[in-house]
Amino acid sequence: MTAYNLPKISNRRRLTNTITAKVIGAGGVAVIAAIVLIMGYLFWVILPIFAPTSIDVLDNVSYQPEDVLAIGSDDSFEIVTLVRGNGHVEFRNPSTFELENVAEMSAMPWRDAILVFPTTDTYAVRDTSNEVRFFRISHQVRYIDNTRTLEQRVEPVFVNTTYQLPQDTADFDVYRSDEDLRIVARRQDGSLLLAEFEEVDDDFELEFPIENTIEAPPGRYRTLFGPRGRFLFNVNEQTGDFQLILVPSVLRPRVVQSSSFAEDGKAPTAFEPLLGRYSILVGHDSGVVRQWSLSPSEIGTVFKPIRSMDFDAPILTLASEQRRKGFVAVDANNTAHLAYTTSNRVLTSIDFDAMPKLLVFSPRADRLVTYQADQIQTYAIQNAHPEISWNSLWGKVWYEGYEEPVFSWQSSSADTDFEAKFSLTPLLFGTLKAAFYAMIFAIPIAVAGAVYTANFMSPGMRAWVKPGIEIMAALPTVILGFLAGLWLAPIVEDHLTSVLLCVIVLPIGMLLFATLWSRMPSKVLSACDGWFAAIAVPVLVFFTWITLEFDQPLANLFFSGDAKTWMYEKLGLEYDQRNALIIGIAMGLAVIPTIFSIAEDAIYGVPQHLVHGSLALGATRWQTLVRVVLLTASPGIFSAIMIGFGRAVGETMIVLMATGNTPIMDLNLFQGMRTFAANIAVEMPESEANSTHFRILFLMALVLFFITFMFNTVAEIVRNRLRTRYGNL
Amino acid sequence: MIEERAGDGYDSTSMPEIPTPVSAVEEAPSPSEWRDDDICLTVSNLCLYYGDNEALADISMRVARQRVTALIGPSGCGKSTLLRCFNRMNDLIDDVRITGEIELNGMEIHSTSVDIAQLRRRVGMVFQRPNPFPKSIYENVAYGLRLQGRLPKSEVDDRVEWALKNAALWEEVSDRLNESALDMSGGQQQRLVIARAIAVQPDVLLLDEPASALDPISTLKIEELIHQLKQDYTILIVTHNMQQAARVSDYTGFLYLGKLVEYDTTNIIFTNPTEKQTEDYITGRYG
Repeated sequence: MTAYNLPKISNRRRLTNTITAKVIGAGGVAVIAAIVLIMGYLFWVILPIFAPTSIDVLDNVSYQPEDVLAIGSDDSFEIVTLVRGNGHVEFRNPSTFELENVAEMSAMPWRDAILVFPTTDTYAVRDTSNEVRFFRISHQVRYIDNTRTLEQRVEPVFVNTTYQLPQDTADFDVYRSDEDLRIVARRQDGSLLLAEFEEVDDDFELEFPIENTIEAPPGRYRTLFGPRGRFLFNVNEQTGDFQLILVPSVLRPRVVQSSSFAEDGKAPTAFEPLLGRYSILVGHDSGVVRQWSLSPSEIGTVFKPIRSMDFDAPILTLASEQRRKGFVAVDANNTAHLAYTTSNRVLTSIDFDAMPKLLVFSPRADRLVTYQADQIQTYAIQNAHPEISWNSLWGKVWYEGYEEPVFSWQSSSADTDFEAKFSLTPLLFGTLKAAFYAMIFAIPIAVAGAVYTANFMSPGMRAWVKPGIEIMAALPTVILGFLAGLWLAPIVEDHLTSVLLCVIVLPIGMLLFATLWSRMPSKVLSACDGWFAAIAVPVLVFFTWITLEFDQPLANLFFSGDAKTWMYEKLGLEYDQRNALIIGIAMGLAVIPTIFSIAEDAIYGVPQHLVHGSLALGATRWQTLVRVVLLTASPGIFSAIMIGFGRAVGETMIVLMATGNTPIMDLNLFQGMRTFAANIAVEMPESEANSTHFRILFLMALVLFFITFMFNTVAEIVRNRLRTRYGNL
Repeated sequence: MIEERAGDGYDSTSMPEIPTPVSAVEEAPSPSEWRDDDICLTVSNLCLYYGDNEALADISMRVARQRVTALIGPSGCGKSTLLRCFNRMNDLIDDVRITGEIELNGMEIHSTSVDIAQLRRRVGMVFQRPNPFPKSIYENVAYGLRLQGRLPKSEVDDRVEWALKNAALWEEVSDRLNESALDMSGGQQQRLVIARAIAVQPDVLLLDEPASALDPISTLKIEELIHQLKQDYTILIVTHNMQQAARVSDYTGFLYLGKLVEYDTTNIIFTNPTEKQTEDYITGRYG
């Protein structure tokens, strides 16, 4: 037997083959790599959210003086400030605790030093003669010969003017706004002396105050100003009884609530206001820390318990963070627990050597300073994103100042003491709502249009219509959004009755016209066969115009004059100018080309031999369409709808410009919404890099990605099943 | 279920009996000897134009009732086009113009009073390629029945079974009626399509090269089926295969370039054609 040799393939063919295979392979790998990179980046940004919280001992120095009244630090914890009872303000290195600077402010000893609420740098100090004076500590970074130095200054405020408290003052607090300075002093008999200086300025002396005395029960109370100085909290430390006093002006105080923080008749063991003083943390003997927040009620704003957290041992000391709603609770075993209110999370804990006398967070909450008899300890905290928990992202959360737990997205505010609300639920809701209404508008029009174009339209007209609609898909959505928000929305608002009636008038008008048209002579009918759509368009425009033109009479007829008012009064529906109806129309228009094009291809691709087979059995065109064509095209139509839905979910510009971007959860057609995509577009530019907000926006992007991924996967599975069922044609 | 019903209560009297096979050599009378009631279809001066092209030129012929009439001719001669005239399938093609007349049992089928769907119900058609719908076997056969309106389930069951038996398919599929028709073999699919066509009990059955896409065994089965069906139906068959035409048909028409060159009993066409063109085609000189 002779060996049989196949002729060799030419080098040229082999080379082409190899190169093509490599290029195509590289392209495929690049696509997958790009997607993996995007996913990887999203995950990489999100990952720190899940990083565990830690607290570790950083430094531990012996510090003998026992007269420290207050501890503070600069922003980056490069200097620790100690306000001492001897009238000195000391600046010390946070790790070595060497004295770097000292300001000798007063020869007279100080009794108390408190931070003026709500500032973080201005102290009010009371000396032994019960005179109160104010000073501000500032830290300034300077570059001298290109070396960075941090300079501390202690500046008197109000040019060293003092305010004389009554000699029997037990406790006092100071509030300062841009204009006003308010001081409250609790006297031995329990009564509260309120003083207000109006129109104060740092660089001018304090003038005469308006003073008033409020009667209050005697006892060991602690008195604090509440938010914006308009409230006074007067809390009995021995019983837990408290009075909430509203102080719109010093001369007209009003007790709005007299109640108790006590639990089962047992007095609380610790109090601490949270940042902004919208709520008070109350520690109990049972190990519970309960958050009481100022919440609206029938009788005005009152304290309500909004959440509680359980610890093992009685809580003796509480301290809150300076810029967030976190706190540390030290229990009777000297164990300190880091926790966060909004997310209701107990993060981590550490054992202290002794119960601290003072317990202070650094401004960024990355350090904790404790001071006890002869020691100062600093702790390093890794706790970047305590606001996030499964519940705070997806569940109802009882925020400060709210009447009840709600879903809310409010990531930023003008106030620094505000509680960020990071619930993704309203945005998910908005995303689905926008897509839902868009699909309600788009599916009937696109699918019916595809059916008509593929089955009934004359080939000549189809050759224009199909590419025409497909080109619509290339229309920049920013233009659609712009038109929807600025042109369509006002028109719809002004002609609401007509627009609503169009839903009824247009189909009826169309049927009427079609009936009349079928009575036309058969010659005309056969000449226009397949061109009916072209004849119907002016008729539709005419009916729309007529309906819009008669808006007022129609409104008078159906809605006693004004549809908006009628809906509000009869149905309780509020009307936003930019609402789901506008989005339904605008985003519907954006997804119609997608759905139309794919569905039309599917319907047009139904093999003619099936159509003929059906017709040859005596089926009418309509029967053939419903029983054979749509059935056979169903996988394609289904996937067209799913792809349209995917597009509606991810669409950004239209929803950004025409929804009003209000993150509310309301299915009402006439209310706006905020979607994931729009929210990312709106907030990403102004979110601080690597902040919780920033990472949540990335998380949102990932969720959006998963939603579309999930829908596409389900669509693909269903489509494949339908295809194996109706395929092999 | 049909399987359960098959033995009892099946009323065969309401439907045509399953015909017993008759011999192909049974002598068919010459067209000139036909009586009036032997005639099912009459074509007079039929011309058909695709745009400006004349595809059928002045065709006149008659088709005998309950006989098999074959149309043969080279590709493009217009035999399929002629077949499609009988159930007006050509109406689906743009730019087609037809003159002349076709009468079905004395009724002019192009008349405006004729409902085209009803016409097609009376004149069933089977295409070259099997075209079952993407539905179950049962639903395929029931499709034509359901078009006419709602029928009781039992009646549909009976008719489906009857049609499948008449299409010689019942034995093979009776236990998988609810499976997809697309999973059947090509020959089975074609018999299914025939079952679908006869389920509505048409008068005329048009077969457009029904076996050209099938293997020899399936082809044989289809041919046997045609033998049986002609007891009840007037059958027109277009075929490329002259042996097939000779085997199954009683009458044969030879078309060439849109003209009906010769039309007579199959016997005469294949043994003693009058026209030279016919003879050339039969003997394989061209085509």
